This record gives sequence, structure tokens and C-alpha cells, in this order.
Amino acid sequence: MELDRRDLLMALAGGTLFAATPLAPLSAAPRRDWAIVLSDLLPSNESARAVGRAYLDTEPADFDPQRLVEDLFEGQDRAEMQRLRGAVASAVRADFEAGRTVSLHGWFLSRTESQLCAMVTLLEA
Amino acid sequence: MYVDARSLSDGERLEADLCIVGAGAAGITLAREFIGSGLRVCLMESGTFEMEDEVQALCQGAVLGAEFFPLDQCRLRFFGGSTNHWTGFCRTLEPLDFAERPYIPHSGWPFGAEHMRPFYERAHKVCELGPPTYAVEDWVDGMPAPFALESGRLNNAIYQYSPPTRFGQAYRDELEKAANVTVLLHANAVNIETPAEPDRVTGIAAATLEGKRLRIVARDYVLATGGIENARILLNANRVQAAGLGNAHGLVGRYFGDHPIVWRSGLAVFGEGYPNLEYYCRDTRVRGHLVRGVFLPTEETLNRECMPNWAMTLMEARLTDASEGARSLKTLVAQAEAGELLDGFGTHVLNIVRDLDQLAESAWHRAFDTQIRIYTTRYWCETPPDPESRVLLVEEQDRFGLRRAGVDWRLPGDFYANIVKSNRILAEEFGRLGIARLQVFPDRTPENKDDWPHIQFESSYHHMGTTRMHADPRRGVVDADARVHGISNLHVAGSSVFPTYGHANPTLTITALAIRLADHLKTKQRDL
Repeated sequence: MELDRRDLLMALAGGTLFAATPLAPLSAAPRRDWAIVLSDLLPSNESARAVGRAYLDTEPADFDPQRLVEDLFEGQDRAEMQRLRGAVASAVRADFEAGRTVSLHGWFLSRTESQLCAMVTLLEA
Repeated sequence: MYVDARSLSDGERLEADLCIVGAGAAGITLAREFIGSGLRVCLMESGTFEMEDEVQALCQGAVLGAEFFPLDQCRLRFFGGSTNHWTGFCRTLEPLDFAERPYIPHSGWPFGAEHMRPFYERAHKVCELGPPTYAVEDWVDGMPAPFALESGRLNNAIYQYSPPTRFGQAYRDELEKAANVTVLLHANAVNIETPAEPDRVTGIAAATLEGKRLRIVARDYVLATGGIENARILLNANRVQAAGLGNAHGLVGRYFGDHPIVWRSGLAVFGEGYPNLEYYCRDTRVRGHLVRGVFLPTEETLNRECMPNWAMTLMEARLTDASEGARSLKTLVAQAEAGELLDGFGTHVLNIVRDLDQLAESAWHRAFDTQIRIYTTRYWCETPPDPESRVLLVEEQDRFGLRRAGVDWRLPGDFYANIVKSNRILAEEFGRLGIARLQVFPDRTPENKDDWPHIQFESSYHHMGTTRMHADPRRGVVDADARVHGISNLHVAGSSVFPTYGHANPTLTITALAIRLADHLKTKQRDL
């Protein structure tokens, strides 16, 4: 059975971590915490904003930070950033595997990486 | 034996068992197959052993449709034909190329890949290729490692290179020594003669540029003058039937195809973690044979996406490829100093993905070091058979009073969309492997994104389909034996008989079909 993106994030970033240390999920975190998570994941805010703007032009339905957070981080714990980073990388590859890609200025990007960038844009809006 | 038609008497009549018009890959292969057969062969050639301007000028014609090379540049009219300028890139057609595909109207051959296998094996020797296998596992042990493509969407594959065999040079001595083969140089076919009821050919009227007239009479005749000229000769043979010979259903000249090639269909940026891209961008000699790795779509991909067949390979990007805005060396230097080889958005993309997807230390930072990791994707494809894409006669005439050819090449409406789709498939494979990101049509900008003509493509000198093969005379000019429907002793050789084209360069298939036709004609002549 093919894992979808959320399943993969759950499996890789969740699993043993969440079983051992039950913390509040990221989807319930305040906006400033999301910003911290994203700044760890995406060191270049300027680039993220550029990609995110292009993505939101293409996918206006995602113009909702709450929706993006739920889509990307539902059930995830922000305490294990390294694990989250690995989970995101895996989710990106799973996106490509499943054909969940978007074309921005001709670049084929995974939906996950595009949505992360969109969040940066929306958080700063 | 070689005979210069100019040395013969005006009005001379020559007799043979088989008359072949045209000494390119198909004609020379056919003639060679008859060496020692006891049958008399006359092989007609318009030129001689070197290109002559006056002869080559007979190829002039009109370009009426899509971008196309001038007709006197995209083919050669002297002994050896267009093998005098081919690159030698060879591959057999895929099994799917022979099949009738429901999503490609008019597709399908009267026989399949398995039927062609023994002829391809013999053609490999003629084209001086390696073993007749294109299975990657038969070659990869001598090549740089390809990517581990496991998604089922793409396959690694190889093309082989012929040296390239210049048929006119490689087989010149052999034909000179052949007692039963007469190569008639400087002889131009100016008419195909038939009775009033054109059920057979009674002779080929030929002429030299100096004005001598000849007549060649044979039991069987083969047109082997190339994908444009075969149609032109049939259409000009209109003294008995106004529409031309073999053209009762108006098919001669239609379904013209070529392989459009896009040199910069995409721009791929690789992380430095991947050790070797040479499988896809370098020719490699394996056990003495030159081969090149390519990406091919799987049959499942083509059937699912309803796409014509295509292939892609990688080419190391020149600086100008990676620098959309570069207009001068000064600009390039400035960009190099600033570390900017991609446009602004591309730089942002790589800033993001290098951290998200382990494209660490992305190559654009180091593009001026020895490890350049920016590549363009070179794409080529078949065009679906289209009756509106055609060779026709224009009003202008050549020195023999024959109307010249016009080429109205039509590209399918989804041509560009399929290039995007193909690059997306490759991009998704790169993304799945975590090794690269890819931008399709890097030359597009927000200003020109809806304007396609700026996408540069070229034709490939592969002229196909104009006397297509089909068992039904309403759907093909020649039958499965390459015989012109309704005419008992006229056959056609060359890529003009291809009903569907595949992505592979055609010379190997032309040669294989010529061998197949020779077998058929030998049997036919024995039975007479």
C-alpha cells in the first residue's frame, strides 16, 4: 500500500518519539511556534517567500495557514526537529513518487516543499 | 560495375531483373543482397561519388509548414545518399512502435518487433554495429552506472553508434566487383512508365543533366530515393493517372513525419552527492562499440499518459544555458562573480530544496569549478501519423521539368504539452531519488510563457511515412511486402514506408527493411 504524505510524516516523525513523550501537536501551536519550525526547516526566508508566493498564485485554495499547518504537521511534535526534517525529506520524495508536484515558473516541486514555503509567506502576511 | 550514364548513347535501353532507383542506405543494401544471386541488378544513382552542386540542386524545394531545414540541405544526392552525413545513432524500434495504439490514430505496422528481429540482426552487420541487443544489462558493465530507476515510469536504455558507416564508401569496392550489379551513375529517374491500366511498371525513363535519355527495363522495380523523393517521383509519374502513380486514394506524400529534437527542453540541477552522470551525457566505448545512455518512458507510462514515444538524455549545460539573462560575456562574468547562474527564481528554488531534499551544496554555487552540475535535457520524439502533414508538389520545376517537392510538416497540437509532461516525469524521478530539481523550458519567462515559437526545435533529417505501409490500400500506399498497392512489380524501400515512427533514428530500420525486401524479391523472382 502506498503511504501518502501525511502517513509518512506520521510514521517517520511520530512513531517512537510520540509514544514516549506526548507533547502538544504542532497544529495546535501558536503562529510564532510555526515560524520557529519553519525557520529551522527553511533557512532562507527570502527564497521561501518567493517560492511560496508563486505556489499561492498557482494554488489559491491553500491561502490559509491553518489549513497548511494541518495538512503538513497534523499530529507532529515540534520537539524533534531533526526527525521532522527527515520526515519532510521523505515526504518530499513520496510526493514525487506519487506525482504530487506543482510547476512554479517551470520548476517541478513537491507539494510539501511548496506548501512549506507558502506558510512562510502567509505567516508574514 | 560502375557505368556513367553520360557515357552511354542517347536513347539507350538497359535491361535487368531488378532496377533500384536510388543508392542510399536502402538501395545499396538491396543491391548488396543480390550480389552473387545470378540476377541482374541495375542500381540507379543521380550523382556520383562526391557531392556535385548541380545534382544536389535537384533536391531544392519549398518549406510550407513547421520550421524545417531547406530541402537541399537535409538530404544528400550522391552515392551513399544521406548516410554521407548521418551521425550513426542507432536503435531498433520498440515493440510498442509496431503496435496499433488506440490513442494514436493511424498507428501500427502490419507486423511486429519479433518479425523484424532477424532482419535487424543482419542490418547490424551492415551498419557495423555491436551485438544486436539494446538491453541495458548487456552493456552496463562497461558503462558509468545509470540511476536506479525503480518507479516503473522510466527505463534506462542505450543507443548504439555506427562508426558511422558511409554506405557509399564502405561498399563501393564490393559493388564494383559484383558481376551481376551495374551501378548507373548520373542517371536521374524522370518517369515511371506503365500501361494505360497501370497495374505494372514497364520501364524507368532516366535522363542525365546533359540531356541524354535512357530507359531501364526490368522485371521488378524499387524506389529507394528517400522519404521526400519517393513521394515526389510517384506524384510526378502522372501521365497515366493525374493524381500520380499508386495514389488512387490520395495517400502518396501524406503522413509525413520527422523527429523533432529540442536541445534545451529542460534544465536540471543536481546535488553533488550523485557521483556520476556520464551514463546520460557521454558516449562510452563498451567492448569496442560506442554507446550512449538515454532515458526512455516505459510502455506503461506511454499507455497511461497516451503519449507518442520519446527519449531524453542529458547534456552538460553551457554557461549560456544556465544564464537566461546573459547576453554578453560581461554579463556572464558579472553573474559568475555574484554566484548567479540561474535566474532569480531558480536560485530561490535551490536555496530551499538543498536543505529540504539533501541537495546540499547545490552546484550553482560552484558552476565555474570543474564539477559543473547543471544539465539540459535533450528531448526527441515521434510525431503521430497525420494525413495533413505531407509532401506535395509545388509549381516550380527542376531541370527535367518535374515539379519540385514542398514539405508541409505539421506538429501535433499537444507537442509542447507532451514535452512538459515528459520533463515532469523525469523531474519526478529525480525528485523521488532526491538528486535533482528540473525546470521545463528554461527559456520561458512570464513575458513569453504563452508564446511557444521561441522554443527552439529542429527536424532530424528523418523523412518518414509518405508511402506508408498498410495491408488496406485505403490506408497505405504499399502493402506489407512494400509493394505499391495495385502495381505488381513496383516496391518502395526506405523510411517512407514507416506507418509509425518511434523515437529511434531510422537508418537501422531502413536497412533491416531493405534486407527483408531483398528476401521477398528473391523469392518472387525465383517463382516467376
